[in-house]
Amino acid sequence: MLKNHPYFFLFSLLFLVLISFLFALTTGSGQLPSQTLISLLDGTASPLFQSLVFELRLPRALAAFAAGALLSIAGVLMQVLLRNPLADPYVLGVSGGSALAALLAMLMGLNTLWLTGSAFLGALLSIFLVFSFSHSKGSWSISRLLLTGIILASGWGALISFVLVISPPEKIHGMLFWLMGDLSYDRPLLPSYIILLFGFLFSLSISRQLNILLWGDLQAGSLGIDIKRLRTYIFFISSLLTAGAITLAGSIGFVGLVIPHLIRLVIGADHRLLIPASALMGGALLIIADTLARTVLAPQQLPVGVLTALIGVPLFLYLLRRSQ
Amino acid sequence: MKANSYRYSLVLIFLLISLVFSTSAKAKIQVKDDSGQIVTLQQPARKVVSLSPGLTELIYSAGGSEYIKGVVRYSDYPEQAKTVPLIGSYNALDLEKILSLQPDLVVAWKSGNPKHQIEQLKKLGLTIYISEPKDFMDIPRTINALGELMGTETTSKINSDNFINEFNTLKEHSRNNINNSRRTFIQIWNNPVMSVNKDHLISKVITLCGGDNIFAAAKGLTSTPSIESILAQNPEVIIATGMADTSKIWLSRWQQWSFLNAVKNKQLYAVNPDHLVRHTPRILLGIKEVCQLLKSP
Repeated sequence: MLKNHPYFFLFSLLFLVLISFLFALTTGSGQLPSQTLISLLDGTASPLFQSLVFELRLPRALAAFAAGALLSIAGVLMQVLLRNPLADPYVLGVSGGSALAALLAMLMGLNTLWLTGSAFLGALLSIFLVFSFSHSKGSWSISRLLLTGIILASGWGALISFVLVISPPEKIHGMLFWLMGDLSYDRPLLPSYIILLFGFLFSLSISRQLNILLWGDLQAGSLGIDIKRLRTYIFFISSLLTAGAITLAGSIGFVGLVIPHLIRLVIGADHRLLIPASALMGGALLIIADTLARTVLAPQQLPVGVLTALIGVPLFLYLLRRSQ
Repeated sequence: MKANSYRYSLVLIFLLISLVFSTSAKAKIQVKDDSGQIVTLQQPARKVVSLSPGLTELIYSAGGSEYIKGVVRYSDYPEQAKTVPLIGSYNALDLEKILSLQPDLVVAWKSGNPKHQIEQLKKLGLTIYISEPKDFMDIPRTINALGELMGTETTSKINSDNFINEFNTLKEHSRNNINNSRRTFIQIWNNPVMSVNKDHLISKVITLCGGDNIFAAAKGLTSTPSIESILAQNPEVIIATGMADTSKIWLSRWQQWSFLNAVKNKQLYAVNPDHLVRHTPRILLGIKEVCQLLKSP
């Protein structure tokens, strides 16, 4: 039914995003009486409620939405690029390079801005390394790309373990939070949203070509698509999206792998729909997960990465079973 | 001439007024914290939030029992601290909870609290005293600083003076006991075996009691020395700081090497870590305990 009414589906997802924003803004360990909600809108609420909602909850929800949307689009692209259902945004080692740089920044005790900057640079370095090693003269085969990425990812993994081992115990907790994905940082939002907007529009503009690429290289080639160039575009856009997400929230697992599959189960593999729907769904899931992460055990705080899978796995299994 | 004296008197009045203002400005409280920042309060803090279990103890001994409104997990001393609302754990703070308590003073722990969360609390406009105790004398100093910030100087003065006196007595006492410094291995964890270097509070207690930490020169505050290196150092005393009965299990692993001096002379001891890991007045109990053990056999 949803397949025949794509716009209905997109609108319901948009509604879901709105609901999750409302959920995030009204839920927290600082109790907010419901009558103050209205006073928040006309600006007559007490300064405490103002800062609770607009300085703590809203930036976090916005960061969660951006990270979820970035990861979901990156996941869609990576799965097309590698023609592998197990591909996720981190499979080519982007997160590893970024995490290593971030952990080193934490080890040196740098502030949030430097931490964010080095995470982004680490991701770019990793992207550059994968591209230059896999992009040999002429051919650019998928297996070569995948192999390079996976090997590089294991290399980063080893270095990350090394940093964890040599780090003083009081810093390890923060590092583990970062590795699991953590939205408690007060990071600049604008760069991520620029990346999101750019990546979203660009992948939407090549969504027809993505559809054709699914049929195979031969068909796509015979339909006049420059496969090599398209692949290069997909590689860079998905990597950039991933870098944006990691910089914002650490390496949150699961979202980039499963959201695209989840949406495909519901509406099929047409990328014109799959891309916006995944972005909305991923964003909404991460907002809900992060709100739960900061409230379920409050005042104990959890890394959001723990919650994404806990919510996503049952949802995915349910949809998988129903689709049979 | 007359106009001139008129001008002088004007200047004089102006000076008098500014003097009055400057004395009233002096009424506010200014204390330098361990990060070098000046913490300024217009009036004594009445809602204080503590971001580490150790700082909770210090706030109590500075006389803040009525003013402490939020603590982190494991704030278990004094007994009253267990009833104060929680605001997360020292390494993952619940900022929203802190903000809704509307504290006029947040006491943070520099090396323990997440840097980004302290930055955020500052951005939200809260007044923060950053503490980083490193040595015994930082304990009375911090108690006094907190007492000043809460306007409870009488209590904080008594408690910090008591600490200094008792500490000096213990120090004198242990100095009389020192014969030859006994080479000590401090075991703070079992799997993997972990020890501490000279900058750690436990190591400082050992030194004070006339012991000699065999890993004093290790690079990090805590380190994981190999079993081989421990055997090679052949410590005369092994002190384990595990919770409750775990120390006994930790110490039993050394029994298999009967050539170790510590094993030969039965110098394996379990010490309660509660009194040894926090920079609080309770360190005096730890010092007493350790000095008793390290007394020559």
